[in-house]
Amino acid sequence: MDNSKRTKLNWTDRKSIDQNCVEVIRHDVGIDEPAKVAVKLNLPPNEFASSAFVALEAYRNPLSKRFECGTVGNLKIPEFLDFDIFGTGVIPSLRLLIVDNDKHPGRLLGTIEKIVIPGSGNKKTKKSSLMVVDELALGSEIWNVSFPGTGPRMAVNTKVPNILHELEHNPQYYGLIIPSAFRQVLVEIAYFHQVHECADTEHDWVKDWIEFCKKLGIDEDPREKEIEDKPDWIDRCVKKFCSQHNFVDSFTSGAKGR
Amino acid sequence: MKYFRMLNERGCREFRDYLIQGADGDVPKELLSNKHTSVETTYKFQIETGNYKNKYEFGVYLSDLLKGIRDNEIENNSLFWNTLSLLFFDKICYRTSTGERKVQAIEKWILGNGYQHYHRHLVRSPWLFYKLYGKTSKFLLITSRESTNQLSMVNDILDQFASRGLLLRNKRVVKLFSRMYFDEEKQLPKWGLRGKEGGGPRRMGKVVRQLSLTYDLERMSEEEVIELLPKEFKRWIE
Repeated sequence: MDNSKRTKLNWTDRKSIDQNCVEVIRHDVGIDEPAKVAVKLNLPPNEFASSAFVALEAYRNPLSKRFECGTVGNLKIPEFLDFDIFGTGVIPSLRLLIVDNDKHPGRLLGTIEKIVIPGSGNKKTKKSSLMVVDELALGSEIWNVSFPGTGPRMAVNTKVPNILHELEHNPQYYGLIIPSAFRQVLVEIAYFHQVHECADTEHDWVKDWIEFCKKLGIDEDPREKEIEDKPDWIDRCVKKFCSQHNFVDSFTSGAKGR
Repeated sequence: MKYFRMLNERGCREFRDYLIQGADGDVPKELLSNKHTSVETTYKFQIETGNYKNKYEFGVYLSDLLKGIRDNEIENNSLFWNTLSLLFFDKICYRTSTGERKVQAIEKWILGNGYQHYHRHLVRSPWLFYKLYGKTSKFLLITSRESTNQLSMVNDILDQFASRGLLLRNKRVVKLFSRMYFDEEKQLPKWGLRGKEGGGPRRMGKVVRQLSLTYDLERMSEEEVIELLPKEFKRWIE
């Protein structure tokens, strides 16, 4: 288990701009229409040359869409960013780029990564981003969860045929494995992380998980709890998670279908 | 024209079992007439299992075949693509001289075995990359090996390129890869891509990822990006 603080080295001279400099407002669209947002920018004064290009980039692999926004000194932000290429209801990731137009054309002067779009579910917009799943040679273990510092990683054994597919689609796999993996992550958070621990702000996975549990209806921070109260928080979260996903029903109907 | 029938979860599982057992015997197309293993969709198209010289030609055909369907409805629908795998199976899983089929990496026919392998699907990838890049997709879809079984092969460069999302979504980079590693005259990947000398596609992927931390590559011209590349790549640039 790695509880060490992560240090980021930046050799690029690129400036990291505060997320608060960008405000994103979802535009009301019909149920069959692609999402649209309006963006307001409030860049820090005198930080960048006024001639530097500003662009917003929406992306969701393998697609991306660029919205040119003029220059720092003469911002021309489109009225709406239309996410039409991504399809109905899809909220892509969004980043802001400020690009040199003088000394080193093309060089990034500043960026804001993973701009929060309201309604995207979480900061990273993908459900899978809470936990990475790898297929590895695990010897005699079928699966495990590790915490390498960047967030929990689940590994499944390559020796088990189609285990990733089964884990995604077969209720008798995911019903047994996922709640247990979920519990392991909550134990890690509740017992081994402090409230004021300075994690890498770009990828503060603990906050993401606590936010996820809040959305389940358990609006508490386990790191602030007394040690004897932590198991109760974990149990309630796991129960809520299981009932929301109907694991028992899926498991039993899956068993009948076999 | 009949409505397209698609495998359901159970049908997909049975198709996968057929593959795991070595794909012996007839292709289980009956799964698509059985209501327990397939469902009727609202899509209408007529499949012709013609002869395609390579995956690029196959991609052109699929793109035309599926043009009436919105891309985002099918792009990540594993049941849809696995059904097409079943229908095109004789084309995309060749038989050896002894009559056996070579079934090794199941993700070539079954979508859903991990997102990092999505690009290996032998029906979805030709469709997707032709849709995304048009003629430039040739460098991803045409293999260097002379073979009548091109449709059942995964191109090395596709494997190295498509597993990196950053490369996929930057059209400037896609064009540069094509220019560097595809011979337009011969309509084949350039000779020596798999050699031990530097400057190959795998290394290029790493360098591009590194450069994108410092530069907005999409804003720069192809020549400006080339200027940034280390010497080892010069031999691939004409």
